[in-house]
Amino acid sequence: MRALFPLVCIALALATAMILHESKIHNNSENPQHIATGLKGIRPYLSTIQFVPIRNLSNDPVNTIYARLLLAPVHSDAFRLDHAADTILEIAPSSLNYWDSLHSRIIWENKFQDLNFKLLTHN
Amino acid sequence: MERSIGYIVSIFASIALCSLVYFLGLILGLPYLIIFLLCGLLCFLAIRYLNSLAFAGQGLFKPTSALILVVGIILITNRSYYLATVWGDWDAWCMWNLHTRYLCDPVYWKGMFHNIAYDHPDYPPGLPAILAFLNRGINSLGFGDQFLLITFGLHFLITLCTPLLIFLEIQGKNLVIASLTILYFATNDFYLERGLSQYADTLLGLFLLLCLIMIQQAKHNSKFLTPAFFFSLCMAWTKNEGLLLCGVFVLFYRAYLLRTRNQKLIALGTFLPLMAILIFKFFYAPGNDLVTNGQQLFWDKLIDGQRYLRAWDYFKHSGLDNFLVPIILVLIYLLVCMIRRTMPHKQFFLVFSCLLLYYMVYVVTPYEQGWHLITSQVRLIHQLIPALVYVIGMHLASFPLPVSIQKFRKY
Repeated sequence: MRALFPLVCIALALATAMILHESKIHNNSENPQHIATGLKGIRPYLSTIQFVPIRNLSNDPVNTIYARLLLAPVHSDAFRLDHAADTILEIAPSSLNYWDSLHSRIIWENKFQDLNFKLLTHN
Repeated sequence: MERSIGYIVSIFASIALCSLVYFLGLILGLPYLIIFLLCGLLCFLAIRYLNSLAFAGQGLFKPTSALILVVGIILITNRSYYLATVWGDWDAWCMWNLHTRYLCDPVYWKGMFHNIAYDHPDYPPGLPAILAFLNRGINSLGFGDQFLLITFGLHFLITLCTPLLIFLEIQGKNLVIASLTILYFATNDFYLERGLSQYADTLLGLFLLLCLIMIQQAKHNSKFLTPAFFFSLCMAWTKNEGLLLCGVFVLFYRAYLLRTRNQKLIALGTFLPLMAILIFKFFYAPGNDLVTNGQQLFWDKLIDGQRYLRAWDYFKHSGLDNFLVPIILVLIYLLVCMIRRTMPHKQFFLVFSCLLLYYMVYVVTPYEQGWHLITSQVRLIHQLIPALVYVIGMHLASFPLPVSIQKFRKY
């Protein structure tokens, strides 16, 4: 029985951590509406892409927004990435200046390839 | 007590097996139910095998050890709540969890390999495959999409069990050193943040730790060679760096491979992961960027002293910023070895060789060296820390205490 003690502790800790984390997921203030600043300017850039290393932008909202594009369907019941992406694009505040200044005609071609893949496979 | 470690090792052997079987099942186009049953069967056999082995040298599990264990677990669980992010960090969004989403799709999962620029589809799918296996299982049971929760749960389990394994291994020899190790990990925000960032680095570090634990046990019972070499290939199944670690491990313990009576035991452990890695690398993964881009100037870079100096500078800075305690630990260990006139343990040289190899990659990297160092070196060192702490802790705990302290301990 002693041998099971660490295992029981691990199971209890895992259960506790997951319950706490689930509350964090549901109370997450980082929903797509809040984070999707600046996306209005993306579409015009899609055809004029210049790649730069993505990691150079690791503290950049681009990453955050991209992640929302991918992960937004988690919030919804169905896997409807097209709707999620469109929603984000529509709700984004006007911040074209931000995109102009951010040399951000970057990762989107690649990332929207993912998006297109998902649209193709899930619609 | 020895069974506790067997149980924890069983958990991660099962995780690795499910990952391998799931990926092979995807290739063969097997229905999820068949994959699930195969995983169940293999996990059952692995658990029986591991729990039939007697782990040597752990000693009795005293109430004091249990108390320290509970305190460590509470500290880690509590801190994890504050440090874990919902979505994980950048590489989690961009690579690991994205790969998981592809692998969840039984039809279009190969689309992962078309996403070449900056997505690293050549990264082995060890972590994404187990996450995809769990997600599909939970989905098919009707619990809906629990992607974020499952991902967090797995990473929390890995982050928690790594220090626990070290503690359980050492506590029978020296409870003070064991307590210090668990305290170090439980209060180390850098370790916990990295562990909960949803990257594959901590899993790789855990597999390296398991290799070292199993190979130590193999001195007493050669049947431990099966899990030892199994976990060594699991490193290669988790990350490309794991190929390096696996190579170093095999090089250091090649003597086991050469003995005929061990070869069946090693083949038993390596067959499945080796098959999965070879299939993945030869038939699916695009070329690794470091290999395919780095041919032209390789030799020039290798003899460029400035590149070594720059790597050393970055190592010094990141070491002092994030790994001060392990550096002090290494210095203490070397000092103790000098005083006792013994050589550092073989496994210490193994971990050190892995670190040197990592830095050789930075010397010859095809990317801008500073950028490459900034973006990944702390993660690579993070992979080696559990193994380093285990090796030093075990070796220090194995030294006989001075006579004066032994007398004191009687009271």
